[in-house]
Amino acid sequence: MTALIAPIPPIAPLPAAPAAGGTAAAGTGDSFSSSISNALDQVQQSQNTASTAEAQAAAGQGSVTDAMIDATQASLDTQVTVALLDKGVSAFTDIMNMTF
Amino acid sequence: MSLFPSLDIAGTGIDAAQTWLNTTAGNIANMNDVSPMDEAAYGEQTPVFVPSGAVGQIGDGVSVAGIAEGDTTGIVQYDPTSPEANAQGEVRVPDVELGSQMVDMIQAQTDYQANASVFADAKTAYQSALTLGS
Repeated sequence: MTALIAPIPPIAPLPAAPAAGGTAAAGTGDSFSSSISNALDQVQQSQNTASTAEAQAAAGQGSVTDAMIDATQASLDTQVTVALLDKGVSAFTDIMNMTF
Repeated sequence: MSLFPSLDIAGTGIDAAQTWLNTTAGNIANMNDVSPMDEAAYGEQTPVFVPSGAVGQIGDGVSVAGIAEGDTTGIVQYDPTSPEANAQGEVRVPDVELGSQMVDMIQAQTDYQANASVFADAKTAYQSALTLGS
C-alpha cells in the first residue's frame, strides 16, 4: 500500500560554507551555514519520522493520531528552520546593502 | 522531547482518550455476551490513567498504566434455551450497564476533543512565535 502523502525526498546536506576571502571564516566556531545545516538535518529527521508514521497508519498498523502529530511536528520544524534562514538571509542582505 | 513538547503532551492525552473510547466500545460490544456457569463472565474494562514523567517537574503527559477488569462473576440469569446453560438452566451475563458506558463514552469523547483543542492551540502559539519581530 502506498503512503497517504508521497514522502519528501531527502534534502542533500548543505555544502560547507565557502571561506570568503581565504581563511576569514576558519576557527570561528559554529558558522551560520553549519547551524542551518544542522537544523535542516533535524527537519529531515522529523520528516522521515512523519513519513514512517504515515506509511504505518496507511498500512493499518500504528495510529492515525500519531501520524498526524508527527506530520504537524515536521511541518512546524520546517517553518522554524525557514523562518531562521529568512532572518539570516535578511541580515546578510542588510549588510550587503550598506553604502561605504 | 522534541522542539515542541506541548504537541507531544497533547498527543499522549489523545492516545489515552482513544484507549478509553476503545475500552468503552469493547464493553458495549460485549454487553450481551453469555458465559457458561463454570467460566468467568466478561469483565468491564476501564483504563487506568497515570501521569508520566518525574514528580514536581513539567510532565510528559499521561499514560495508560493498565486496563482494570471489573467483576467477572457477572449476573446469573435463568435461560434454559441457551446452548451455554448448565443443568439448572443458568448462564452468566456481564455486569455491564449501557447507561454508564454511554456516559463514559461521552467523557472519553470530550477528553479527546479537549486534547485536540490543546494540540491545535499549541500549534497556533508556536506559529505565532515565528512571527515575532516581523
